[in-house]
Amino acid sequence: MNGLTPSTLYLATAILLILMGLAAVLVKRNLLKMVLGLSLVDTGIHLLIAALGAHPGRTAPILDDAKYLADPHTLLARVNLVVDPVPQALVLTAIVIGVGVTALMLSYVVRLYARRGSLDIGEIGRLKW
Amino acid sequence: MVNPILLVAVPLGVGFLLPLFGKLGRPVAVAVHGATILFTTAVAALWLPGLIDGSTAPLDITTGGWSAPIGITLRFGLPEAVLCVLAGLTALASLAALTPREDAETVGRSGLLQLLVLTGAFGLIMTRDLFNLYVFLEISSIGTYAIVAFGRDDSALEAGFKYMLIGAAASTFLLVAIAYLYKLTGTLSLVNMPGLVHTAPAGALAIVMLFLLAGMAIELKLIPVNGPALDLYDGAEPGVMALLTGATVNGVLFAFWKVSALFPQAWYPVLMTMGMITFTGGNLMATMQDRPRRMLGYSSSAQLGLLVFLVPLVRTGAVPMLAAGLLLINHTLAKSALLWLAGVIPGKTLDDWTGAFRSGFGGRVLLAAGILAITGLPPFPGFWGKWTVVTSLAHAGMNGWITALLLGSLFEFIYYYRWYQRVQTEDDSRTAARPVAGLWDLFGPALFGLGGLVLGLVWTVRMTGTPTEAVIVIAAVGLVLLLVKNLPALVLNLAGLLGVVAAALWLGRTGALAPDTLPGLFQLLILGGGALVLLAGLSGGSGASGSVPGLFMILVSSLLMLARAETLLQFFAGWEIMTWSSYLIIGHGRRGPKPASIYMVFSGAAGFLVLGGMMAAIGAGQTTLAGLGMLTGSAAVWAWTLLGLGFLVKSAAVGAHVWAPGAYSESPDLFTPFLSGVISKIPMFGFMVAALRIAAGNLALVTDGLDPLWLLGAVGAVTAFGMTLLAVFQEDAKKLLAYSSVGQVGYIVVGLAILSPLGWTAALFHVVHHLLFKGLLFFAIAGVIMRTGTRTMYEMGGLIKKMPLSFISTLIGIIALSGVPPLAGFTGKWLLYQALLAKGWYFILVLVMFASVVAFVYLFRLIHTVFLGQLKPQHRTVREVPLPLAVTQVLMIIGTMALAVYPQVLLRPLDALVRGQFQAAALTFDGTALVTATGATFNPTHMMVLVVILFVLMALGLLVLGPWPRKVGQLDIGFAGELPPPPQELHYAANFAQPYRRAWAHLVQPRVMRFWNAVADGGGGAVDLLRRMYSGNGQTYVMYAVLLVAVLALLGPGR
Repeated sequence: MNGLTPSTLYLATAILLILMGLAAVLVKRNLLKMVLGLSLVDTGIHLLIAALGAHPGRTAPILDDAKYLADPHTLLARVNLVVDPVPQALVLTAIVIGVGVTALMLSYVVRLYARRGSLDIGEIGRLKW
Repeated sequence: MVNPILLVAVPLGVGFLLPLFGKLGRPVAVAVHGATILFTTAVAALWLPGLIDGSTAPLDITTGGWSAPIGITLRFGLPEAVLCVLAGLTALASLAALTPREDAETVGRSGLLQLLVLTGAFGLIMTRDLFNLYVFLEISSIGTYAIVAFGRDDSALEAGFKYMLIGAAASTFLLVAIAYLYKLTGTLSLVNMPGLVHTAPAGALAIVMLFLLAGMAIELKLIPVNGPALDLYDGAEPGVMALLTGATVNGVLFAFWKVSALFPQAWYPVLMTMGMITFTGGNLMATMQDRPRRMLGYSSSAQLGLLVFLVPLVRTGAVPMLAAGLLLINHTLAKSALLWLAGVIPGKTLDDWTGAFRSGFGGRVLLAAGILAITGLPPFPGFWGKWTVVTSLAHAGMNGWITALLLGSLFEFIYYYRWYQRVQTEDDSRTAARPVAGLWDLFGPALFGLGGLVLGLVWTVRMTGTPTEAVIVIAAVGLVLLLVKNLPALVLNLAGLLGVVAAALWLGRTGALAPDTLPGLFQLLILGGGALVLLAGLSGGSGASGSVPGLFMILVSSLLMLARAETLLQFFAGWEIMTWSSYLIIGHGRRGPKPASIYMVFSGAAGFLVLGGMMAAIGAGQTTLAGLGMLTGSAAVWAWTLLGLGFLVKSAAVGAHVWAPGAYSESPDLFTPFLSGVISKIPMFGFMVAALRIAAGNLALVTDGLDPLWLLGAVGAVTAFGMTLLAVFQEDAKKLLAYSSVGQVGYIVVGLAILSPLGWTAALFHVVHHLLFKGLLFFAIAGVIMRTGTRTMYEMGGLIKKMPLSFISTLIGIIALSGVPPLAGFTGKWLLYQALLAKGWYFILVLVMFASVVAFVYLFRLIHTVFLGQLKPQHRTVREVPLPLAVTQVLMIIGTMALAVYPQVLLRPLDALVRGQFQAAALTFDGTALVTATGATFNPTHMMVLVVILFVLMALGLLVLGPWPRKVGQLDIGFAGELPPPPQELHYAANFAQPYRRAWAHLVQPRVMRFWNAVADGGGGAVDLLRRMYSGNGQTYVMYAVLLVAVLALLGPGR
């Protein structure tokens, strides 16, 4: 497995997830499956962002001991041993937003089903042109 | 100064408590909600004065004590403050519009979502951090999705779901872009990133930009990914859409402005193209809409497209940011107001708007103001924004973009005025049950309408200088009259008349009304014509009551502004106000709305042609009317061509004449004299002060191949000839005079095109004389219509005994018009023929002479059919016109006769005028005789004396020798058989012109009308196909988003 670094693997998986999700959104006619597809896309994106910050061999960005903070030199050395925390913070936020949006979409699906008695995306095309 | 971070913190904090306040009762929730919005708006507004005059520096807010690039920063400067105030005011008015529809149960929850949307917008406006921007975008979006679902309508759910689908796609694109931008630059701060982004590898950057643009394109509703947004406008509550327009949309737009700093310049053409396609295409597709809410969606998309188009130009400094800002403010004010008003009308189709806001106060005025503002007409801010943008583009030589912009603006005219046409149409079966706009429904439109007007007036003064007091007085009287429009016609017209007279005295004292200057002469005509219309209006009748007198005053003030213009902008601003005020007046006719909207579309086209011509001049560095004479080369050719075409369309020259018969005949009867006598002369004024100045300055233009002046003269002559033929067949007295008016303007065009002292004297003489006699005819016919209730000539007859004054007016009018001695029509024709002979334009001379002979065929019918013959039984009780209308007619008869007996009263000032223009004299005066430069002589006074003597002799002869007539009763006749119905068609005057029709029917087939209909149908069909791309299927919409990425990848600068 020469040249296949973990980062590449993360990226490939992420892109695969995004494409799978997108395919579901574009092809599946069932609203629930489309929402599922969007969740897959979300997951893929989250993985992608996390992968961007990943750095093989480094640890979690947690400075767990006060002694690191005392001396700028050791702090710098320590900082260089952890991965970039920003993407992780981003992913956390994105996950929260994703959950909110998914929940809202599902409630939409429930109400649409109650009104129209169908889960077919083709059925909700009355507004057009 | 209060820290603007509270703009985000307070609504977010209060918002989630609102459902709890709701438990305490509806008023509590609404009060807390309103107070929160007021607080935030006040916080932002307090910053405004300092930021505007520069005494306060923009504030950078850092969070958590960390400055950029580590911490998140927010900025609060002038644009942010303006946008936040706008968003706050929109939220306030939306609260007023939405709350009455909520019950105690939902009012808190709905309030929470409204505040969430507002918070998201504030955040989007202030944040300077890319990821933070994404978060606020999502807050706005989630608030939007949820609040849309609050709508009771089934279609709101459908629209909301589709909007979520595409929103998810946008989020995906944006997140990928943001993550990679962080990877490439190591920062998320929008302060630092633009400086770092160019160090990134070009290939990687191109892909990132691709996703960023695709994501923003969805959020900005650009073509082709605006389908769900259109459905949202269609399906969601309009009040909600107003909130989105004023808050979220502006937030997203400003966010785009901030991230646009990341795009390398190679992307600018792509941004501009996408923006312009959306502007022109969106407006084009909107023309096929029969659902006003969806139409507003297309329009929003289009307006956003225009702003996106401007973003790169503002970045490069080609267009001032202020211009884009004005357009944005204008769009927010106008579109939100229109949406709130749309929320009052429950139905969704155009039919549901028939006669909307007929009862109740203010709804229709505000709707009209919103439409005027959004179509970019003065004095609203959009006009000044658009003017600045277009002049900037002209300076940069971007003529193709100007063309696309003006084309899109013209499409905008088509659908907005068709919509308003439906509103003006009164259909009692439908209108009776129309809902009345409540006080709260009008809160937002009134607030924004007033805001737009005030801002617009401030800009009017800023851009064109303070108008002279007379203009202000007349316009102010007009505005007041609009407010008190329910007063009796007598009061309204008297107030207007006093205003006009006062303004005239004022102007007269300053010497501005000297008839030996072009502006002076035209101001005299405008004030004189205006005073006569208002005087006639004292008698009440069609066009004397309601909002017509107020609009008429505004029209008069705009015409004065136009006549006094020195710069191109002053001229154009006056021109456009003239267009809309006359349009609104025409729409007040009983069957006026449809012809009015056609009038508006043709006037719009004329306006944009004139604007295009002005841009050709401004691109060459000339901004004044006087400067036009200095144009050379291609700038001169373009300016001449476009200005000339614009003026010809506006004067309804042959080909564009199709708007005129309807607009003239269906306009309120007392206004038609002004339309024919004064407004139709304004394009002629345009020729004299603008177009012909270019031609005069450019002999090359004139001598190069086909003489463009001869061409212009030929167009005038063909118009005169063609309209005369068409007038012959009219059964409707006003339509007959309408065709005749258009034809008469043709003579003026011929005279002007000769471009000689004598030609101009003839033209100007006709300008004044036509005002007198055609005004007289229209007033006389207006009186006849007032008394008989019909315009169809064969339904009248024998009115001479009932309305002798009207008969005399008509008689004098037609003698003057036909150009036979002894009246001044002959003098005018004589001058024109002499000028044509001197110039050597024999073809035109023959055409014009023939036309004036044919004019007899239609003219005598006015007298013969209406006033002579048998009186109809139903008209036996008809009386003479009321006193004010009679006085008006007498005054005009005096004027007409004065010109006939002693034309020097006008010819001497005109002689001074043309001497000033050409440095050569047209005429010399030998006693009462006129002598041309070629030696031809004519003495009108002697002619008059001669004719009077002849007629007196004939009358005496008849008296002495004549067979004395025997009086018989009208019904003293017998029938040989039964009278077949309907009796009117047996009237000798019905289908009177049938023999002529046989002779020249092939000449007057409605070919031109058919041509325009074919244009409309063919274009409509193509557009109809185009708009079917919005199939209504959510998956198709997502597919467009994916395709957009693919197309940008293949064709964008990153390939």
